[in-house]
Amino acid sequence: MATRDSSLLDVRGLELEVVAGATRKTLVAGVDLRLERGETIAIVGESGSGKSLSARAIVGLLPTGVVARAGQVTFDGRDMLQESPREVARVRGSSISMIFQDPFTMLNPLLRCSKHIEEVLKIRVDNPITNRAEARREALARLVEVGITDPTAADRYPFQLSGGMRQRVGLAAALAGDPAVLIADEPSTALDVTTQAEILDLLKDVQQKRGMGLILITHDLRVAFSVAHRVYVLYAGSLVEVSTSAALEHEPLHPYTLGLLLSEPAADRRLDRLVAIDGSVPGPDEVADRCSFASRCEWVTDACLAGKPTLSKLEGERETACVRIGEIRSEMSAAHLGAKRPVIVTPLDHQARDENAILRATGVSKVFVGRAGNEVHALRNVSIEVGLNESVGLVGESGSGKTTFGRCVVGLETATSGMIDVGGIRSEDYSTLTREQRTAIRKTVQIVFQDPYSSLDRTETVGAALREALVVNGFPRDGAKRRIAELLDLVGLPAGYASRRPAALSGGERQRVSIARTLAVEPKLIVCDEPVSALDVSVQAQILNLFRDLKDEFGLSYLFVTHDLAVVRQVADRVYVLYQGSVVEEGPTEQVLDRPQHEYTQRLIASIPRSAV
Amino acid sequence: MVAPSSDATTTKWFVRRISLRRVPPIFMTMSVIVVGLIVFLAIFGSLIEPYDPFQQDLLDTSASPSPEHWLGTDPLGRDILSRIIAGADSAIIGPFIVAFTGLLAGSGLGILSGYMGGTADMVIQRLVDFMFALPGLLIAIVIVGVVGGGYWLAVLVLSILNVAGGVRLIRGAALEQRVLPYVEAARTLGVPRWRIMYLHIWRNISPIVFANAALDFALALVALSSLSYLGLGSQPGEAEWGRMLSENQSLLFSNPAGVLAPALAIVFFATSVTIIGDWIYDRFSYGGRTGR
Repeated sequence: MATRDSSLLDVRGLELEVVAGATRKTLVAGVDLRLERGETIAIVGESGSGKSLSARAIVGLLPTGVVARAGQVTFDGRDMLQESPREVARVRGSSISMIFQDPFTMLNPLLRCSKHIEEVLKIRVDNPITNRAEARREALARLVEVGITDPTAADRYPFQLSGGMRQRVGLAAALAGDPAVLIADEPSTALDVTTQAEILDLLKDVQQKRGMGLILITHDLRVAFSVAHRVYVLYAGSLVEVSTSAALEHEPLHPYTLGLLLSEPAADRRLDRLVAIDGSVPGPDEVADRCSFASRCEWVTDACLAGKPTLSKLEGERETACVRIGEIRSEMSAAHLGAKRPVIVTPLDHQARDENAILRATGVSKVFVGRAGNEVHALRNVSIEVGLNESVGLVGESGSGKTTFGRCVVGLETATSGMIDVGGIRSEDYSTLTREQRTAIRKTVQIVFQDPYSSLDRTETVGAALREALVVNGFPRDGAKRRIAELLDLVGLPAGYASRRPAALSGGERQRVSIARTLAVEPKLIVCDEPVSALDVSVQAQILNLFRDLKDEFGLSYLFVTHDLAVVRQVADRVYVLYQGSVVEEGPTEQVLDRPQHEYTQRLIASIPRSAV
Repeated sequence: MVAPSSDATTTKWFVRRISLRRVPPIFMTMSVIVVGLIVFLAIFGSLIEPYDPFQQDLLDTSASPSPEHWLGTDPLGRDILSRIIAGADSAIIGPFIVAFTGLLAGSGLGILSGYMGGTADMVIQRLVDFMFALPGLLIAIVIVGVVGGGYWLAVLVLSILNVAGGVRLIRGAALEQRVLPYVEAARTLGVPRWRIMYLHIWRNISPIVFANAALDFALALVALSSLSYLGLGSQPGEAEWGRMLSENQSLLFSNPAGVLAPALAIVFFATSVTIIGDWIYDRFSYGGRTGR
């Protein structure tokens, strides 16, 4: 391979493991990457795939306890894994730079924005700028490069900037050393949808103008397709597919990639049923001697379990680790095309909401008073109705007040003014309700939270959590055990899970337990506060399907709070769009998403990542 | 430059766990042996004491270590080894009472203060402020000195003065838990407040509670010994390590082992308990809010 020698960055056989005392655990089991000059590659994988760690290994930023067991990282003719930490630190920041997911902790809160850049300019290896005025001038120019044209922004502190602005400053600082390679670790994930699109465009733009190599780490294939030339798909610590973006989007050649593509909820159409990949990601050690995806693959045969498949070349630049690709290619292709066909859209019931709406909120406002006496208007005169057995989406970006509204409905916040009627109990102030009224509200509405990790008490078993939910709501103690098994069954978990603690469950499983816990009360309405946004795509689809099933089975109503339009498309019958605390648009899901009227909604919909081709 | 952030989506819990400061296993083993030995002596000491710890032998005072008296005898001719063994129980009981009171009151008031907020929080915190303003050991010296001393009075005073620190620490921990979704979920499910506070929250912060109790124990041991050393705690004649330290002071040059033994007993015991407390925290706390 002649091209290999001229590659900008070449990673071969990278293996990472975590060492804790006598136990060793593989995190990455052999990864090969190649980055050409002026090229963008994306490393795509779910949590636990090892995508971030592989990238961190390149720049020597592995967390304590994680070590490279084998492999080479060749950059500029040198093996970065063999160089001294001091030498790696020299390369990092000047030749290879990195930006991170979280724009809130990435910058030093005590330094003004331009200082972050000036500092790098001063210490960079090539052509350091020691003159202060000059460094300052250069820093301002660098901020312009990342789209911060307002010179006053340079003198602001990070906390005075929005997430998107911070990410831009972080990018400018990362670019200050004029690196040959930039590694961007989920640079848009923590941002709002509209900002996300801006940052991705900016990255693409900067990469092209500078002719720089860019490694994008993401869990989102849509993002990868929109930015990268080539995509590396990582699963349980090993590569399963390598391909150009266009070819991969057209035809995935590994069952995992196919599953990932199919389970991505589509933003532009509602699917009858989301394709989910059953199960969850195994640890690399569990699948050391077989295809890492075998346990979840529908095409699995003995050949897949016989040994660890390596990437094999196909036509063009395509590589796949699937040993059966020759036999199943046409089947996979059919499945892919089948999903792409406009699927039967579930007919939605748009008839007027029942007279007895389960939730009727009128003129709800919420003002938070800060420590300094400043007022933050989280909600302004919001009126929202949810009918019986209706699923209503509440869409907005962070700070739009969508979560606050959901919390007001279940009584975790008290609205400053306005009326909330839940199942016939009207309240202006939750704290003045009688005990009976509160109980009645609780039995009508429950909430599922975003973070599956902290929404369960980690010290008690799943069974104990469900038992508590049952018993405090008057369920007889002696029947509880059977009911717990029923509840677990409803959310698709075996009854044996009752004796497990949350730590032994995956994110998706924990979210199922949270849902089971709300079902213990037999509510009519469930407020879902971003219930799938912390989950991997393949698991997301499972949970969304579950929500749909439960709605049909029990006639549940949902208030689905989310920032993700694709999710709304799949679960909501009707949508409210919230912008800075006010409802700016409302209507049936199809109407709002396909023919948005309000300027903000249009912007929101335009920002959904689409592939470059 | 851009600082690394922790990438919650890919860094598994065990990666974080091992980056925490850990107590080296050898220290832990030694600490368990020390504490185990002292507890054993406190319970069965009277059976293995070579001599009656209170029996004076005025013909054999201030003796150096010998096969008969391994650590020698004190100025009143009492066997020092026997007295150290006999002192084990007062080294445990007093500090235990102080730590246990701190644990109960600290948990009770701290969680109440942190979870309820409002008036309850205000009242409790002003009380804590007041107690913090008092110089603890000095107050203890004054009270115990004026009232006339005694081991139990010293334990009582220290128990009360010790509560404030625990309350503040546990309040902070409870505040952190209170906003977590599992607590909010319990609230929306209608779980009674006391159950949320003293079952869910307490269980989640118990590593902090126990680690703090261990620290309290060690501090109380040192404080009680100090009071006894000053002649304010235990009464003359009682076998108590702090008091032995002052009584045997005159032996410093003739029989160093006789003075150092009670001092080392205090130091080793206090250190061991602290290490065990650290270990409990490392072992059972989940590092970080999310518990991954």
